[in-house]
Amino acid sequence: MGVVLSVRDIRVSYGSTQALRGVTFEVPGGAVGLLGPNGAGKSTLIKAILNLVPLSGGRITLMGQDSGALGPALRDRVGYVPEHEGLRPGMSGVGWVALLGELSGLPRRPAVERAHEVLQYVGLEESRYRNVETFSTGMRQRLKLAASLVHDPVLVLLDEPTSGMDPVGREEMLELCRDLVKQGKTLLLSTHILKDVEALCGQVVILHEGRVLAGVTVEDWTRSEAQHFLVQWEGQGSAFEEACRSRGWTVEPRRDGLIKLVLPVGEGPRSVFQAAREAGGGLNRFVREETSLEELFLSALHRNGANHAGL
Amino acid sequence: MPVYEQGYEAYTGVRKPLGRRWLPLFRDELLPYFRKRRFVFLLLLAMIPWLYGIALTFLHTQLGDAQWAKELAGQLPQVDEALVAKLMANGFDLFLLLVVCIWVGSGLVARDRRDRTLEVFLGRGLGAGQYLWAKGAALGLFLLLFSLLPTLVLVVFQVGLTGDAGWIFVHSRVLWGSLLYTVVGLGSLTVFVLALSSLGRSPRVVGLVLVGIVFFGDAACGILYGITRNPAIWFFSVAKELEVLACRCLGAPPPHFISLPLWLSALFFAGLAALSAGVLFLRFARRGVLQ
Repeated sequence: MGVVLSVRDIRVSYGSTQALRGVTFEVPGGAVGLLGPNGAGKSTLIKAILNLVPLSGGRITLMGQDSGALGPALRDRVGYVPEHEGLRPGMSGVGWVALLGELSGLPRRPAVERAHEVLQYVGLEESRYRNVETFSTGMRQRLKLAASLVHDPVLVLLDEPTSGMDPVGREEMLELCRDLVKQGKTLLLSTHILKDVEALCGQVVILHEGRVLAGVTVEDWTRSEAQHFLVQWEGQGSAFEEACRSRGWTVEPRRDGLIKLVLPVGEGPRSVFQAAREAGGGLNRFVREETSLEELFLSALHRNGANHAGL
Repeated sequence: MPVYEQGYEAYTGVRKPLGRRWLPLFRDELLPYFRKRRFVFLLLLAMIPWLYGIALTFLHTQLGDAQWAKELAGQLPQVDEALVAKLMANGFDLFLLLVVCIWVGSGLVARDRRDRTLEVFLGRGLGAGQYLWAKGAALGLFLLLFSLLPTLVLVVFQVGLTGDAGWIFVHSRVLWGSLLYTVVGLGSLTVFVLALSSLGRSPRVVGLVLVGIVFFGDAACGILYGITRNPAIWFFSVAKELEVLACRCLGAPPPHFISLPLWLSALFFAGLAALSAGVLFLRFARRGVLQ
């Protein structure tokens, strides 16, 4: 599959403030997470793709079609789930979705039929005739997802789609997103909820202060990052800890007797056992600790000297 | 277990051309007002002066040849350009027109800004030009109910009751004058209201500003005219400018106390339209309206 979305060196300024400073990445397909602390430029990036903020430089390509920012015809291939409400009070759920379908080019009758289909797909078939202002937060999020799908887009831009949802609703929303990926849709998920990205995305783009800090697949990144182990040293004293420190590893003794080791890239379990032998003992327990995306994310921010207070 | 009971299905049907995307938004803007009784009542109220015009046509043509009928008909005003100008720009209708303008116009863009639906609309295959056209067309259509549409109805009655199609050629200015008034006066007003609505996020605040400009502005001009007796004061009154424009377009003399020079009226509407279009261009081209 070719590249669905390509963003090249795009820049956006609000007056003298540069919100995006040469952002470049590609979305090959599947689900891609857009991570970053508050104010990193995630929403601005999504709006820039939709031509909702003017670009001061750069180029965006969708399905190989080139445009400074996506023009009306290309925007027909994109669905958008905004972060905020974006709903018209006084309209029924099905009326709202059908209207947006018509604005994306569907004739009246197919738009209404399609609205019913997508509302059923997102689980709102019982509430579709209710006015949108009576919907709960979770229902509104699903309604926005339905509205973004009514015209059958190739790419769906989701800006904080699980914001304000309870755990069950959040899991259902992620389940829908996973199903959409299976159906061949490409999702660009902007969020600061790292677990959503972990659960859904195969690729992550991290933004900070309008720049891309990192943009790799989660698997590649996990492999390339430092490795974390929890071990229990069978011997007495601190010989093992000193052996580890002498190798430049990070050693964190814990209250439960376990020692947390953080090894740099290139080192592995073999090195840990070797250090234990050199210290004159063995290991009673050896557990490889999965590095969470949160740790990777914070690590990327720290490497770049970023302040993550906004998280 | 997934929440969906029906799998996702791709849409394989046809899509409308880009140029016709404004129609659903236009319809969405228009129809809710016809479901509001108070609004429909206002529109019907505005028809009352025009019923007088139709009644005149009826009396002129149907009273017969009796002497008393001829004498009565001779005392009634003729259905011509002067009468249409009076019907179009009488104080009652102008008041209702401006009320409708404020009622419909204040929320045109401001409501979409408040509800954050503007970026949802513009994020679709709908350009800013089509969005504005849909909104402006909705307001423009309501304003047509105060100018061109009743004029056409009156003309149809006149020709139908007299059986004389030649009346249209003799009084052709009724048609093109009404059209000119509609395009210049009401067109400028529509663009102005759109521009003002794009500056606010609250329809209520935009409405209050419009009330201030239209009605309090008119009252202020009246007070200043009372003091200075200078007709040029009315330059700043939207209602009086519309009245003068209607008279000028239909070749009828405007009331003496607001008899502004033609170039001054033209300057007012050209300036209003240009300024408003400039505001709209800047707000939408630079996307400031989405902030």
